[in-house]
Amino acid sequence: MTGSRRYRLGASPRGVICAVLGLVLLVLVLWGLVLPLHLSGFDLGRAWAGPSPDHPCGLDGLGRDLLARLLVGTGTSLGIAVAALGLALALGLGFGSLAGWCGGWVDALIMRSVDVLMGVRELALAMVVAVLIGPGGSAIIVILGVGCSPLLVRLVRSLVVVQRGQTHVLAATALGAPPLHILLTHILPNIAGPIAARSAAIIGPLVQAEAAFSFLGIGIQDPFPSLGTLVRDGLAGLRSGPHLIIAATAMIFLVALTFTLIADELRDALDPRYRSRTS
Amino acid sequence: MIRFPRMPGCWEALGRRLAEAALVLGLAVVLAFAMARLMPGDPATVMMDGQGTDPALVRRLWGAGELDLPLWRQFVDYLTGLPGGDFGLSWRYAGMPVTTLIGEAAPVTLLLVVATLTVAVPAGIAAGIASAHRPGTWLDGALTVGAVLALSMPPVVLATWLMLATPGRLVVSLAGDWLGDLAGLMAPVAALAIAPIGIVARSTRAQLLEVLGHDYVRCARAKGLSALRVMIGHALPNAMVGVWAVVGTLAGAILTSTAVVETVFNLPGLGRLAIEAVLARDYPVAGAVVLVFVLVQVTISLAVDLLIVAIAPTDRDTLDQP
Repeated sequence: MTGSRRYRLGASPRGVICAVLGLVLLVLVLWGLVLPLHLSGFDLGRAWAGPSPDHPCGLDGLGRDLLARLLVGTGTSLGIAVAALGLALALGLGFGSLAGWCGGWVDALIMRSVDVLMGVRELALAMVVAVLIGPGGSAIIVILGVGCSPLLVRLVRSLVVVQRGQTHVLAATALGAPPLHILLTHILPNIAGPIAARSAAIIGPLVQAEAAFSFLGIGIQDPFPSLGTLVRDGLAGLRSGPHLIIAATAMIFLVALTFTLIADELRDALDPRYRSRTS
Repeated sequence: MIRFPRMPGCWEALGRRLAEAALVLGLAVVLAFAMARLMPGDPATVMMDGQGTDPALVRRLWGAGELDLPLWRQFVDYLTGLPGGDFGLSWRYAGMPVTTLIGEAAPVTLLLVVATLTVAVPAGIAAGIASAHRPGTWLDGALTVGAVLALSMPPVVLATWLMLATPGRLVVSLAGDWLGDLAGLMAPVAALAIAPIGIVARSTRAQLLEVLGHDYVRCARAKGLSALRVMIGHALPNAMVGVWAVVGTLAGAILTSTAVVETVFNLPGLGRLAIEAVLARDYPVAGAVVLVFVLVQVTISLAVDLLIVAIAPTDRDTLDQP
């Protein structure tokens, strides 16, 4: 428990597994982006056909190549998770630092609103958004982004409150630096670590939630594939072509596992308090 | 016997929580009403979905309901109906009261959520204790890996794998035969509980390891108490404060998962009713279900707050935490 223990990626087996899984996932997503895949090629005569040399993962109920849909679907799901995280980060950094810096009634107003948002859980929020802007890609980004923003607003606010009392911030204030400048150059670099660690921990659950909502029909709509819609197609053909649902759920599991491990690894790397506590 | 501390700050914080809960509920009521009345599309068109829209018939349907009244009268009617559990009529199932639909679906979901929490919380805590007892051993390692695998297992994945593993045998019927119901519920509850078990186990382990480093635990050990008594009697109660907070947030996430599991296993629950109502634009049902969800969530978080205050008076500040 010496305070100056440095983090090394290869120090634990988890770090290695994490790097390998992350690399595999990256390659798969890039493959889906780069290769000229036949997303909309139909071969109805061979619907639900199992794996074969020209279709390594088999075909779905409409005779579309499953590998192509799986790779593109993974990319879509990850893209939505990242976009939702971006929205949550924008809300979290904006309102969190506003609340933490201003204090007083601004702080009270923002934090009580956050409490209200925490009270309205994912599914209720999803229903309201789906009714207001209709099911689809943008709806799911808003649902997930707004849904997880309270966590980030609270985190940013508590970090900013601590930083505001530090001497270097007081010095900058005394020198007449404008608040925005102080926030960006004196506070943000110091609090970026914990925020990054928390953001990484949110990505995995976001991918899972995207899959759940797309499966339910609120997210990405046909004919575009996402991990959730692939599971829905697979469930419809559970008896005729189980390879579809196996491939889709295995992919969800792989993605979720990868991000859980990456989140743990990042938390240990960026938040030394945790490392000393659990070792 | 739970004794509540006589500390003014504590009651003040709880009072503010209650006011907040009332505010959330009030907002939800307005939202539920707005969802039903202000959305594009009208009930007559939804009711006659796929059967053409004869203007005369639409007119008659409008006139038969209260939809010709001014908006404020409709809102007053909606509000006065709420205490008696009257949410109006469904649009999709013409003539069916929303309350009947919710009343039929709610017990299924309630059963699922309660069964899931009953399985997941004790199992997770037990795994966390076993893990924290001797950190670094093979048992701790195995449980830690197991917890990571468990919490990376979304209900949609495990539910479909269970369906695949037992083809034809997972016929779930809730026909009032409680023994049959129990057997049928095993697969859905397993699918729902696996991720929460992992989450609770990880949280229990982390909290326990932190608490076990405190002086009072060393003192209890020095007195010669057995490892089990130190763990259960001294360390666990303090560790549970953090664990209960996690369980409180879990309950909300489980509600989303029930929608998925009910769809996979074809259970007539509230989650499925909610999703189908949204997709079929049956806004009165959708609004009412949102109201029910918010009510449940508000009640759960209040209960968790009370529990935390009751078991750890010094942690009453957590109520004020940002």
